Amino acid sequence: MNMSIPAYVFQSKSRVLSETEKAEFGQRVDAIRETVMQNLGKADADHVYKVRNFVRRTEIASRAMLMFGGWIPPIWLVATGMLGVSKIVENMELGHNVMHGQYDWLNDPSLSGATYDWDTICTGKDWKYTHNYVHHTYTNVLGRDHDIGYGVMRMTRAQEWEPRFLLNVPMAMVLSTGFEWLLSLQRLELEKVLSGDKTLRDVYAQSGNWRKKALRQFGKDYVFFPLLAGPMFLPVLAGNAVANLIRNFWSSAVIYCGHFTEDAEMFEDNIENETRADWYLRQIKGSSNFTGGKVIHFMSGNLSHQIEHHLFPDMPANRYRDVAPQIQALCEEYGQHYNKASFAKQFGSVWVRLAVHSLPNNVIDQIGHSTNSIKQRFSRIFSRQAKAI
Amino acid sequence: MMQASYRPHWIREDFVDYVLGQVNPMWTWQRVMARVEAIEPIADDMIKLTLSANKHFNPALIQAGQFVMLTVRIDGIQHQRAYSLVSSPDSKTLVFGIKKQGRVSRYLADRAQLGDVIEISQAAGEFTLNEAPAAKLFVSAGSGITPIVPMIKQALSGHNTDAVTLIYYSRDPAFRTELESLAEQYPLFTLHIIVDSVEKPAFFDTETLDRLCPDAEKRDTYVCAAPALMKATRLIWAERDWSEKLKQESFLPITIDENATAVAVTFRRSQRDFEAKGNLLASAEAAGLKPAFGCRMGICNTCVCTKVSGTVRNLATGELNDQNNVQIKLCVSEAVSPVQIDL
Repeated sequence: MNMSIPAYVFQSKSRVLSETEKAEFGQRVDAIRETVMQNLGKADADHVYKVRNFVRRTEIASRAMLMFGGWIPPIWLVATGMLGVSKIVENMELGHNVMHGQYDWLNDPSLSGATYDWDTICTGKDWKYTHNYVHHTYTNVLGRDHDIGYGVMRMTRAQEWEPRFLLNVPMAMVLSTGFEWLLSLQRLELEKVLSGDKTLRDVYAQSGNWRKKALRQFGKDYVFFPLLAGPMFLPVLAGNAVANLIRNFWSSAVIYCGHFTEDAEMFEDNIENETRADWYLRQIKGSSNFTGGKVIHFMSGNLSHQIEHHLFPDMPANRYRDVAPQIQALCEEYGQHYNKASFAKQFGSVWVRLAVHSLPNNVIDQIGHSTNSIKQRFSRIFSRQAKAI
Repeated sequence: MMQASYRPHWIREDFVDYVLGQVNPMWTWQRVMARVEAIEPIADDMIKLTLSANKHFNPALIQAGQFVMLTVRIDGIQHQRAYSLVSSPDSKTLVFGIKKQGRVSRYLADRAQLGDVIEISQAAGEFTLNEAPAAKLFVSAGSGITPIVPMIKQALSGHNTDAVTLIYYSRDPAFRTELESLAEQYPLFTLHIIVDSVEKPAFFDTETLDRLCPDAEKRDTYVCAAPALMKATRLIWAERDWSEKLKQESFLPITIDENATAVAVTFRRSQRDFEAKGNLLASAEAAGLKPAFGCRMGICNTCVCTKVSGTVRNLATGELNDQNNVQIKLCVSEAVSPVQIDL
């Protein structure tokens, strides 16, 4: 970002805290964390083992149904849906959380963040770099956090407008469809090929791990299981493909709701001067939660509590629900905006934000003015009528 | 970007084991599992645990004196400890003499049930008899007797012509009958059991050594006992310049050393600072952190992590390590200067 960014684009719904307040705030957040981390135990272990068994059982059941009854449409539908659910839970509540090291303290090598590799193309290793390290450290910092629009979508006025951003909305849909491919390719920084910083040859040389994992994933879902099914080859192939799509759409929706919602703030790079409390505040302002029942939290790997996840990435995710009210109360006490709304509302605001920022700032402002004046005119008419009545 | 070391899990082992385990918990793809066949009290606070292993266990690898690591899940958390084998290498079952002194041994003694299936390792360990024939002196105390029993049996077996002496301190000697019948059977075996008590503890010193084993200089000596006795023998053997003939095995759980100077330690990824006194793993745990761990004696590599900077001492070897970005085992490391660790 070589242009200077006018201050107004970083407008915030949160009060600016004094240094003392900030330090206090940080200590309060630490205290919330400590209480939970000191009390980890059997309940958390039971949770993660239950989740893993859910993933295993649904996978076995759905693959068996596809293999033996895939030619019967209702069975195909149920089996495919269940496989999609199985993959979603494996990716989010199990894989994502385990790879954050949330359950390392169980000392179970099969649930160790260092070695776990999930059921998606992105290798566990690449994910820990692009997500655990880059995204979680530099959350929503322009020029550092690649997850801001994944380098292809414009998310804030602070990003310079280019004609390609007119495709913001269709681009987001394309990314959703191929979400597992997008995540897996993030580490290869393909946009650098477009900008000329990298050649295709470099990309190929760096893609060894990606190719291995992609081959494994592709081989499993599109060759091994279909062939194993023999005459059921086609229903199994189609079921696996659709299950992967279901997973892609849902996981991208959850991720978009975590950082692309209306009030999720983006930041200038000030990492060097940040204290731990600043870091906490940035995580809160840059993330958003969505509300819902038990099922929606479970199906989103508890990333519905994105704020808590960003404050405490290594806290077992089953604890976020208990911690969230405490964080919200703390935010209210310190005048910090706690971005929380229903899934529908947050998801809707993502698409509005994408649509708005597909246009240059001056166009946005003009439209803003005219809609405002239309609104004013209407409200004047309404108030006159109200008086008349 | 690191390329070479990545290998996708073509087949998920835990998934395969889950499916096999639904049929029979002893069935696994690769992991060594064992069923609890018997738990019997043998002495004050000691139990005899008998296990039978699945086909992945290789008994041909066992050497007398070695240990096997047992992994149990207690309240959801996996704990792993090494226990010396009491049974001889040719035994059909694996027998351990376990003193109830830590979390795992108490679990095995009080909560484990017959028929439980637990994960174990292959036999391992350096505490074994030297190959060259030589007269032998064994010194042990308390539950330190466990690896010594099969070692003595091995030393006496076959066409043995070497003298074997055991000096064994205990308040309630386990394996007493077994050792006494060995002493009756083999004239070359001299047994000294010294029964002491909390009120009147016995100490090992040069006088005892010279009285019970005057030719110790010519013998290979094997010691397995608590730290005090280990240190006493180490000092005597060093003083007499016999250190090369001394082999030791320690088995006590790690602890923080209140007398050690406090050193600042930073866990970089979790952004936590604490003060370490002696052992790094114990200090981190005392500070409320939960790094992964396994055997807690430097064997299993579960607690391996990258030391970014600072100097640590290896508690097992005494070696100092001041290199940056090297792998260390938390459970056998002590910080000497402020240390940063990638955890």
